[in-house]
Amino acid sequence: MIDKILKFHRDISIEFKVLFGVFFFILLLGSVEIYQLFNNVSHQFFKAKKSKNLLLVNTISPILALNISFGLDNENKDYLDYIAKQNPDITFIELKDSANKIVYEYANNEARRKHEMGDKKEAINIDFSTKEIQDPTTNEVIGSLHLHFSDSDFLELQLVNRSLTFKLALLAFVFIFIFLILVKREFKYLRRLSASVLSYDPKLNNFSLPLSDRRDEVGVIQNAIISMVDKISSYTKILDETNISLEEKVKERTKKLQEANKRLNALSTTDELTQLSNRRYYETYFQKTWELAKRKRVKISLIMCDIDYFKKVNDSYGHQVGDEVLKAVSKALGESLKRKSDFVARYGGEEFIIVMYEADFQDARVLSQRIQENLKKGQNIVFQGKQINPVTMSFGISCITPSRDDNSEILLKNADDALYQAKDNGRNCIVSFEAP
Amino acid sequence: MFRFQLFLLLTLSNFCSLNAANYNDDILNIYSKMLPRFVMMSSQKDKIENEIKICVLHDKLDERVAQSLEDKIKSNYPDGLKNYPIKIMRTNYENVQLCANSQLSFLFNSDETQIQNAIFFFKKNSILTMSYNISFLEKGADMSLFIGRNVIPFVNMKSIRDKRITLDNLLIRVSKIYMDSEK
Repeated sequence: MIDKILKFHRDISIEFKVLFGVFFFILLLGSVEIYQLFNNVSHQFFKAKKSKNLLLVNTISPILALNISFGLDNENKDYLDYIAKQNPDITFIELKDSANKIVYEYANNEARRKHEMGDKKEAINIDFSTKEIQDPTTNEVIGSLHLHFSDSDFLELQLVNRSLTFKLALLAFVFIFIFLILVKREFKYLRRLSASVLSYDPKLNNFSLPLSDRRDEVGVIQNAIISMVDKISSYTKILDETNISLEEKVKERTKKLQEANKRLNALSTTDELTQLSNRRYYETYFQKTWELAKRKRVKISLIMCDIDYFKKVNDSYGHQVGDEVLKAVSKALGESLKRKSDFVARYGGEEFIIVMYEADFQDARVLSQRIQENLKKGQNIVFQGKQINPVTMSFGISCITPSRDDNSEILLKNADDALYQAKDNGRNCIVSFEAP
Repeated sequence: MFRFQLFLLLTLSNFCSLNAANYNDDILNIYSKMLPRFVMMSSQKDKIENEIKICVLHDKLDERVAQSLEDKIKSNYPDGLKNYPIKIMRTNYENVQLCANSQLSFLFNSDETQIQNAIFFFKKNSILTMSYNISFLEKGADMSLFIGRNVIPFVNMKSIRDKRITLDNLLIRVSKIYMDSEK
């Protein structure tokens, strides 16, 4: 039963719920209005009753007076008995003569009961306790009349009024209370919905509320939110996938770029034909090594070497064979270096240069001789089916412990002079620069 | 018990109308209280000049009873009523003309002719009449006393109206109205 009521409550729209609330409130106001109305009716009833009683008293008093003046006491008794019989709300009648002696007394059960209980309190003032009886001719006071009217009918009316008002008010309060509970349930539901929306994370897809079977606005809103959440979730998934794809692409591109940079860097420092360092890189390297040797005050040696009669090779066998010769020489040079600190570069044409850090003439000479040895066995170049003769190289060595005032060019110039000296000496020899 | 005795006495008085001993003293006392007030509660009060004049008509036989009634009136109203002294005129039916100036006449029992003459006279002079005997109402008397369970005024409205006399409403309210059908 309660489930059915709650389901009905969930199915009706907010307008009707508000209307129900307003209706219950009007019912409450109505009960107040009815209470007020009944109060007014009671007031009017009281006024009418008082008027009626006053009229009764004013009517019977002269008759009683006349009967007294006529000496018709028995007639008064009968008359008052008749009045008491015709007016059930009269509880007590007392007629006294001018000497204040009771000549007639009447009391109904209610009056007797009240008298026995000592209850003299009246709910309303409708008691005309002492009405003087005046002689209709002379206006002299010839007695007094005490009439006591019952307030039970008034109390009964009030009781009915209060009972009805209480029932209506109770009904209204009960309905309003139920209405407030239902409204509170609505707000609780909305708060839960709000909390779910606030805690929703599209990446976690953690919206906790299921689809609602309610047919009111709250159910419609919840289902709309769930639909929106589903869309957000699917779009977020697509976005995440796209992001991952983009990141992978960026990584790949970055790697390619780094490789290209590396290649570019190698190209900028390496001689393409011989794969040895080129002259530009040599100059950078030599300058750094020179400065280091200067700071460390160690010896630095420079070997300049040149292929003997290389022009003749080119002219005899062509540039292609010349390139092969250059490659073979470069290979022999590279294989001859034993220390990591030794550096060889193609200086230009068929000239090569070797920088040796912390090495003296002797070290340079040993290396030069090793190169000569490697040249002898490292060349296997064939031209038109015939192996051509291995080439030789001339070496010019310079060595210096650089001081603060020394210029690096002096070392190169000395090596170059020594190389010329080697050429002059018949080539395929090693000449160390000696200061004049 | 008292009421029953009173009723018995009054009933006997009606059957023995000519017997003075049948007048009830209590009833006379009631009449003595009523007579001046009936004047004051009717249009007859307009005829009052200095005093309330009440004429008592009786046979010679009832003179003592008439005297008794006069004494009772004087006893009940020693100072008159409403500052008017009360003058009682007692006379025989033969001298009914003496009542010409009165505002009210009280009729004791007498023979029918005398009563008829008196009633005719009072009607002619517009004088209110009150009779001890209730049967006089039938003959045209204006008021008497109805003696039933209680004693109440018995008013012949027709005769009063014929005399163009008006009664106080209050008086009418406490009275029993005589109807022709009660003849």
